[in-house]
Amino acid sequence: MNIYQQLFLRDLKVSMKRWSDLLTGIIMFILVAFIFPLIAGSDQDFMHRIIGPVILLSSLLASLISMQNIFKPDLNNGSLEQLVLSTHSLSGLVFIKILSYWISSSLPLVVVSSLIASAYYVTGIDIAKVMLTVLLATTTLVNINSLAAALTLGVRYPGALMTLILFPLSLPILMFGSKAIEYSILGMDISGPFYFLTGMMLLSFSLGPIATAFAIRISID
Amino acid sequence: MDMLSMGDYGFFVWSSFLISFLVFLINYISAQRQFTSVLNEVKSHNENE
Amino acid sequence: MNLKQIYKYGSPPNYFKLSLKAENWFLIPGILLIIVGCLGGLFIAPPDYQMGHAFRIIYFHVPSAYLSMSAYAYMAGAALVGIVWRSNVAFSVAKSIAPFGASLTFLALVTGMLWGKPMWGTAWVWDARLTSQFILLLLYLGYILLHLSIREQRKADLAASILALTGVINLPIIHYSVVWWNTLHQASTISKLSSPSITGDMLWPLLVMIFGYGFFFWGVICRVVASEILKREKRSKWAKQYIKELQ
Repeated sequence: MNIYQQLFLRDLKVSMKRWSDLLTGIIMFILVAFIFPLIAGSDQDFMHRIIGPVILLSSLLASLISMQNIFKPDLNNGSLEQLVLSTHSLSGLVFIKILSYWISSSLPLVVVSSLIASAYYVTGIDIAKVMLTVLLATTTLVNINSLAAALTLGVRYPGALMTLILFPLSLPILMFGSKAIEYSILGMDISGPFYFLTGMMLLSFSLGPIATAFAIRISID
Repeated sequence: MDMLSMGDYGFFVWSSFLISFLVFLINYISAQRQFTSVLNEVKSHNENE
Repeated sequence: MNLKQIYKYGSPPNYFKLSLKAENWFLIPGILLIIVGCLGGLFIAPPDYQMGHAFRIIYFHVPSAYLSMSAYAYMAGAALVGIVWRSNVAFSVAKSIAPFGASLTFLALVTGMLWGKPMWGTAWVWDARLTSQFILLLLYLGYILLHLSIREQRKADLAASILALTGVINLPIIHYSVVWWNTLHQASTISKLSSPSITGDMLWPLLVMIFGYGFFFWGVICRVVASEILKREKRSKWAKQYIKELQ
């Protein structure tokens, strides 16, 4: 078993142990999505119009709240430093970390989004399309989050900074993601937004780990 | 007087002018003051050695 | 080509002296061009057929918007040079551009709102250009805040430069996302927001203002870069020498 597989499994095991941290993100996702109909009205037309933005916004806020869990715990227990000092490519190791973080934090969101979609009166195959949108959008969001987390590793109170970095960079994903959901509900052709989301996913998974690795090196030594 | 009222749009046009002028002035003055404060900082640093 | 002539300006004392010498060569033409442009735009250019005198705001809005975007590109370029060549001078330039760039973006937004209120009845419109300017302001503020938050200067330089580079990559994506979004939603306002084709009489003050803003901007940046370089190198011999020569 090479280092990448070992790191992957280790990260999954560690995040299972810290399941309460994962839960914060999922709970945030559910609560934000549920608050909207309660305070803004719940007739079917309205719900169909706002489900796109609501789901994307909930994913953004969920990722924001759990952003510090990507690197901070590993920085605190010294394992991040070991990764940096090892002879392996830090970009590759960071890629594995981001991948395992995505699996542990965002796959539950994909499952939960199906429940939320049905609560928003979405039926049939459209629920699968909503889940697919969340799947694709969260991949890019996870990369942007790790970059922001890595840049603010050394900062003591990174709150405003994280939001300020995250928001402009994630705007295209939010726009195209909510468009994708809107199109699926209207029954229109969804290939346009989906191609964009897939393209952004590939771009972010290829450049993200490199930039994040660079940022980690800066913040650590 | 037409140039002051700009055909009812006077407030908007002259406010744009005024705020642009102010922003440029503030940036210019802050640059000058920043430079003199750095000069003083270096001077006192030299004297302390 | 003798590259040494260019490389020597990578060293702080040379760039410092160059900046101070160049400052007035930028400031004075800048101020003159701005004065001429203001006179031309506010008084000489004829009032517009549709918009009356309110179109004169264009002479303040367009140059600041254009300069705010090109300043961000320069900042990202300086950040790249700093990362690749590990150049303190380049990092100083990038750090110095940010505050003025942010205030230009702010100016573009405010003058845009002052133009929008009489023209479309509303101060804010969700079109591609205004929204991109707002996002640009956030990118500038993030850069400045990152510099302020990280104590150690070398780390702050590198981290903020990464932010500047990711911002510059994202800026076209964001702009075209909003354009695409708007073509689907607000077809009615597109015709209102497309730039009017502009006649020669109205065009020349605009060009003069654009150049004037640019020159003045670089004049101020020269002074700020000089302060930044001096602050970073306050312990060095050349700084002591410079202070002695001043007295």
